Amino acid sequence: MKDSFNPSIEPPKKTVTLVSSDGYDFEVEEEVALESQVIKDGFEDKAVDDREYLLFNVHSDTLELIIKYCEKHVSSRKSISAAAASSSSSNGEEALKEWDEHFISVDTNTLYDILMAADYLNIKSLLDLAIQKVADTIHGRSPEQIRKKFNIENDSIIDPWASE
Amino acid sequence: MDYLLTLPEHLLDMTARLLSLPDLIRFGCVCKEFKIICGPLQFRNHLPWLIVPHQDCVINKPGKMAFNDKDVGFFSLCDGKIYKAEMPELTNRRICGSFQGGWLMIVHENSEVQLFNPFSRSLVCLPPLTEFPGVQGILLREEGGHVIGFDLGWSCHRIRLLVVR
Repeated sequence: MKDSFNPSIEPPKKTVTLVSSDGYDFEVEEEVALESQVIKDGFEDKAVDDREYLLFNVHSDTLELIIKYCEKHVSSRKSISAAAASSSSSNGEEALKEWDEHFISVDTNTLYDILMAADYLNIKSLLDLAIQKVADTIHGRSPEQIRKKFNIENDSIIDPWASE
Repeated sequence: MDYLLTLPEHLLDMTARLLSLPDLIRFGCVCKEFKIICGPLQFRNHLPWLIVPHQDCVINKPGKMAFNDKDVGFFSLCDGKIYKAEMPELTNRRICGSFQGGWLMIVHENSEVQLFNPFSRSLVCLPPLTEFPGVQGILLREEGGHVIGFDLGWSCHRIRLLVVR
């Protein structure tokens, strides 16, 4: 009840615990965790003190990146809608796009891990971002260059196509 | 480790759907698994490719075009580039028509007619012209000792296939 006497103090944020495949606990704000459609589905049915999610397919290194992405997107959405409400000009969306671009500029193995985790957790915007990155990496490369980039062995498929 | 290869099919499919036709064809050439994913996507929402003469591959006779070499040029409208492809199946054959799905109808001067798909490289031999149902007769058209075409007479249609050497 004391909060009602002092409205400047926000109520403590509800948190959720995410446990990585290698056993590390990550405590994140509820709204950050809810960026994952998998966590969102059936979230309300789960008891408040049982909001712990074991993510068997996500390593702590990747989970850290995923949480960083979700936190950024939650906070950016808030500042974008706040700017829109006060009808002040904002380059929030542009800035977020740039941030995304920087975020996904990772090596092939990390990109693969992010892709798999975004798919597993069903975070659509992150999945789209990672898939687009893979497509961009393929763009303009010859089959041989793609094999080299993604470390794929040539299984002697007939390759008649060459660019002039 | 072949990371990309171990991606689930639906993620590879999502990736392939973002590629332009030239990228898609090259991606499909990486390995058999990708070929299977890319094959069905090649004719969705992509501008068609035009078959164009590749240097030295066309007999230099005005108005006549047949491939005497295995290299064929494909002009891509989306990036304005000509892609060269080795298609030994087209050697000494004339392309008489093209159909949905990238199929080409090709004919040899010995009257052999085939359907050929340059993307999947499938080749379907059609029955000899003489065995087409309803064919009443074939007229060979010769010029200078070479067969230049066939006229097929149906009861109410007349089809002309030209072969050029």
